[in-house]
Amino acid sequence: MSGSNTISRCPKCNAENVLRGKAMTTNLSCYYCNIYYTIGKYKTEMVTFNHKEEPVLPIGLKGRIDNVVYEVMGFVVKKERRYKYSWNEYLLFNPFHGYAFLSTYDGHWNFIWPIEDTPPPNENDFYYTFEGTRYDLYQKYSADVVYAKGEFFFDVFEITESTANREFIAPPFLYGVEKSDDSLLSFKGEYVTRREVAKAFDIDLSTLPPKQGIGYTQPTGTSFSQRSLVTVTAILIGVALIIQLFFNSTAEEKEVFQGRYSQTEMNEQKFIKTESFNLSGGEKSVEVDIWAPVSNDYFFAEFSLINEETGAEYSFAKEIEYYLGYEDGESWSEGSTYGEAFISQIPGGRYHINIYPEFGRNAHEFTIRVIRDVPSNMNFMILAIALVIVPVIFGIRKRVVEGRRWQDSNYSPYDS
Amino acid sequence: MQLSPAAYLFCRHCHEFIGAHNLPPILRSDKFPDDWSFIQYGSAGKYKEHDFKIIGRVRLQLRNDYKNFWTAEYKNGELLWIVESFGSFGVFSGSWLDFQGNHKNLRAGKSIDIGALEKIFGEYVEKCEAIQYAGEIGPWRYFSPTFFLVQAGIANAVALFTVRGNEQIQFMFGEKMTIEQLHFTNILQWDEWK
Repeated sequence: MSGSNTISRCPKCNAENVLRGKAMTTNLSCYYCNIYYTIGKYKTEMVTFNHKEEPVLPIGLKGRIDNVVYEVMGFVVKKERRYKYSWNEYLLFNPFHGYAFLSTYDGHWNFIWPIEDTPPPNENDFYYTFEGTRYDLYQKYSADVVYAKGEFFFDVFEITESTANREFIAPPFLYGVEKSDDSLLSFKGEYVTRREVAKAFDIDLSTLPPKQGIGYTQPTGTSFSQRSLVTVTAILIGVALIIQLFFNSTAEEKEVFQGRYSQTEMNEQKFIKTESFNLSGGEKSVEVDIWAPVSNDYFFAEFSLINEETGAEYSFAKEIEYYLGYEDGESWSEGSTYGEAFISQIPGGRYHINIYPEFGRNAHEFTIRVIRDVPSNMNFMILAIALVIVPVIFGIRKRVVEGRRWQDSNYSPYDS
Repeated sequence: MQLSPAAYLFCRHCHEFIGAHNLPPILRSDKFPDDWSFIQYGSAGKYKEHDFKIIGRVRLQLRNDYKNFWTAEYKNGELLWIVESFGSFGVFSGSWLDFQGNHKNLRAGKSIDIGALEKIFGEYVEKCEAIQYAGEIGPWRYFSPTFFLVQAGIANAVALFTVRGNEQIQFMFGEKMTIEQLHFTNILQWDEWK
């Protein structure tokens, strides 16, 4: 408890209330009979409550937030006038830093402090830029105090009843404006977790109400703009494209072997062994091009690229089909007489290819060509697709999560 | 008690009026209520590289706030006001000026023309409910709680107006500051808050 010998005598029960806020306290709920009154002779009205609620942060409790020690001075339950939902606010005080608030709703907490920022946003603004950050209008409301406990540096009933409030959010931050005929106050707030609140006031986490839903300023990892996500993705794809173009421009694309084979050459053999050829350099790609003069026919072969020094074998298969005809007065064709196979990361060395062909009815020959160090756009395509998938998934998640965040707002940008 | 070019001099102990440049009627202030102010007589600080020392105090109890007007003195004898409320500070180095603008605009959210700036905006209007004063006090007009205080500002600029009936409205124009910017020393430490 703060060291204080400032006394206020309750006008109802005559009890002596020792004021934690000393002369700064202007209003309080009697610590004995709980009626709310104004200190001094300026206002004699007393308020009694139909509602009663014990604060989870007791009056007089001290805690450290942002390395500043605050004492809980007052606690209020406020009810919104139109939709009748209620929330709790704690008035915190430090002699050197003034007052601040902890506001809590559905187990979500915001630390809120007054700021000096004039002029504030205009009445009809749907967003406001403060300290370089865009805050979007979340709610406009008026409220009443339904319960108060502890001490206050202002008439919390009068102030709450007479002000029109607007809150803009840029999670985890909020920007609030309270406007009445006599005052125009701006606030900034930041989401704090239950765990941070419990740690700040050294209380058991289980004593704090459980969290429900998504808090309106709760950080969810979706507080990025769609535009920035698209921009970052475009930049990454651009960088990948530049790298791809660089590799394309430096690829040798050197023909290292070409051969033409016919079925008649095979006699009784099941496969054709090509002549040996050299694949130079380190691990580089190899492209095998195949032509077969098929017409309404097919050609199929299995290929084994064999390293003659290590015995390593790289197998692949290729089918070539080409069909054409004339039907309903129109010519048509399908397939191709050409096919290609691409194998990446083939070490340098001396190689040959074993070909196991399967000829169709008409075509009985084929040609192959082996090209060393051929650029492939496949990696780039896979990377580009992956880069596009990420923002798409994030975009969908953002829409779902942000939609839930804004579901209680009349100004949701996610309403269709 | 040191003597300075302050406009008024009140005993720090009994708060009895001692003297003034223009000799107003005899005044005696109520004692200051016990509060959490950490500035005191003799507290020192620095404003824009110039050292000052606190020599007097006027405390206003407003309807929903309070304001401590600390009279401070530079080494060369020049006076300034350090105005504090809940850790928020304004420094006013000039004297009170006559307000020539439209008094109807002295309201929260209204644009107020004070000449020095294109626009300044009303922040709050508060009725002064009680006033106490002691020590050496700079130029001051009202010694009884019969006036309204209006605060207006824009960015770091701040203006304070005193309004009473149909009397000429006066204002001070200054700069909002943080406690860190004023480099206070010899202040009450309130160790329980550390």
